[in-house]
Amino acid sequence: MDDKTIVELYFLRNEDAIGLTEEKYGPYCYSIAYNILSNREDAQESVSDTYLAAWNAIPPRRPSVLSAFLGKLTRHISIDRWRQRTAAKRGGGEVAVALEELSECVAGLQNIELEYERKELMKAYTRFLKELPAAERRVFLSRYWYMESIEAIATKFGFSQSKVKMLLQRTRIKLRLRFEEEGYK
Amino acid sequence: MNTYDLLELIGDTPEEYVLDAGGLGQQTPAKKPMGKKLLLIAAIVAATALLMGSAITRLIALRTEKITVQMPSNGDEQLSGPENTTAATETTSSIPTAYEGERITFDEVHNVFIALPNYYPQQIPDGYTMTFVSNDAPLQERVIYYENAAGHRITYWLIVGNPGTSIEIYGIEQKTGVKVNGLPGVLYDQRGGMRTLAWIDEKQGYGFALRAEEDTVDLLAMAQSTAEGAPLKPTHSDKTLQALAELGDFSPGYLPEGFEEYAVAGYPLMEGSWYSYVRKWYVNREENKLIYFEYETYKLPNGAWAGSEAKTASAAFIPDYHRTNGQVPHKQIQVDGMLGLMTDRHAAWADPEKDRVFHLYSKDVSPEELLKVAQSIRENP
Repeated sequence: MDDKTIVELYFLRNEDAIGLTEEKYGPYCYSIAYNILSNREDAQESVSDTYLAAWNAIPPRRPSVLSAFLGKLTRHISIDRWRQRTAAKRGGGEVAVALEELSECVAGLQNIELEYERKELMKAYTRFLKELPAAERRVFLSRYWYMESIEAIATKFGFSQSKVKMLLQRTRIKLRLRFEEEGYK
Repeated sequence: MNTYDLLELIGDTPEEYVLDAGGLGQQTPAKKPMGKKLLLIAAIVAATALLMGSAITRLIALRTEKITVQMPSNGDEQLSGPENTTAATETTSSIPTAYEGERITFDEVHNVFIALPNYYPQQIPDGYTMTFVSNDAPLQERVIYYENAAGHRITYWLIVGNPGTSIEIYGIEQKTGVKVNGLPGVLYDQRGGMRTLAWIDEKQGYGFALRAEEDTVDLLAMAQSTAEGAPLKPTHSDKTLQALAELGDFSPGYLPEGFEEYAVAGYPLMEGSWYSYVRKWYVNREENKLIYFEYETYKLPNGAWAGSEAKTASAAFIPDYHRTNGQVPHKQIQVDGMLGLMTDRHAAWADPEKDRVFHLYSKDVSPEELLKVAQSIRENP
C-alpha cells in the first residue's frame, strides 16, 4: 500500500493505519532504534512509541515521505531513551562513540542558544550537505543520522573500514570549518 | 550548543538526503513485534480510558544479562558487560582475573502508576528477625533485611515500575527456572552456599527478589509466603521527622491538577557531617506523572557562602547545566527571595544564609507549570 493511502487512514483516524505502518516500516524503524539502543527490548519500545507519536502527529502533519518522517521520530525517541537510560553513564554503544566524534565539530557553537541562531545554523548545515560529494554525505548520514557502525557502513557501500573512518574524519573537519566560515566561532 | 544538540540538528537533515543515505541493512526484530503493543496503542487511540484493563497483560519483565568483572593486575576493579567492554589485562598471578556473573533487571513495560504494596514474606526462617526496612522512597522499591544471631542476612527486594534496580550475581553454580506460586522466576545457586531467587508478577507489575547467605534457608518457601501484610514502618522513619525539624517542612502551595503528595523521606544532620536532606514525591496516579522535590544542606567546597554563589550552588544541582558547563538553555529564577536557575525540567535555588539548596524536577509537566510549583514552595508553620 502506498504512503499516501496510509497517511489518509491516519487522517480518517482509522486504526488500520498503525498496523499498516508496522507492516511496511516496522523493520526499518527497528533498525534505527537498535543501532542507537543496542538492546532488543528497548528498540521495540522505541518503535512502539514511534507508532503512537505518528498517530498523535498525523494530522495535522501530512508527511510527504512517510519513511523519513517515521525514521526521524524513531531516531529522536531512541536517542532520548538512550540518554535517559544507562548508556550515558557507562559509555559504549554507537551513540556514545558518535557523540565523541562530533565533539570536534561543536568547538565554536557554545553560544548557540537563540532559536533564530539555531535556524541559521540549520541553513548552514543544509548548505554544507548540499555541497558534499554524494559518497561523503551518505557515509556521514549513515553514521550520524542512522547511527550505523563503521563496519556496517563499510559493508553497505563496499568500502574498507579505514576508508569509512577517513571519510568521516574529513567530513567532520569540513563541517567544523564551514561553521567557522559562517561565523560560528 | 553541545554534541547532543548537534546530534539533534543532524536529525533535522532534509528528507531527501536521509533517504539517499538509507537502505539500512535492516535488523530483524527478535520476534514479530508488538501484537500486544498494537492492542495497547489501539486501546489508547480508541480512547478507552483505563490502561489497567484487559488490554494490558504484562506490566513488568525480568531481564538477565551476562556480565564480567575484570580484575587488572593493579587490583582495580573494572566492570564490563554488553554495553561496555574493557580490554583484558595480562597477569601471571594465579588469582582469577575475571569474574563471570549475571545481572537481573526489572523492566517496566507499561506507563501506569503502580503504588508500592505491602507485600513481603509472611514466613521467616527460624532464627531470623526483620532488622531493616527501607524508606518508601525512592517510590518504587522497598528493601528488607532479615538477620540471625550469627550475622547472616536474608535480603528481600520489592520493585515496581522501573527504578533502575539491578541485582548482580556472581559465582553461579546453577541457574534454574522456577515458579513461585505459579509466577515465573529464576533461582541461582552460588558458590559458598549463597542463593538468589528473583520472580515477577506480570499482571500486577511487581518484581521480587530474595537472597540468602546460608544454604539452610528454604528460600522457595519464604518466597511463596510473600503476600500482603500489615504496613511496615521504615527503620529510619524517625530520621525523616528529625530532618523535617532540622531543615524545615517545605511544601508547594500549588500542584498541577491530579497531583498529590505520595511519599516523604529525610535524613538529619549526623554528628561531624554537613549533609542532611528531605525528599518529597508528588504523583498523578491516573496519568503516571511525577514531580520530585528535594532540599538539602550544602556547603561549597571552600566552606564559604556568598550571595552571588547561590547561582553556583543551584547550578551544581542541575545535571544538564553542570554537565554542559552552562550551555543547556536555562534562565534565572527567584523563589521566595532566593536566587536560582531553571532548565526545562529542573529548577534549583539556594538559601546561602541557611546553607540549603532546593531542587524540583519533573519530565511530566511543562516548564511553566514546574516554575509555578517552585514559586509556590513555602515553609509550613
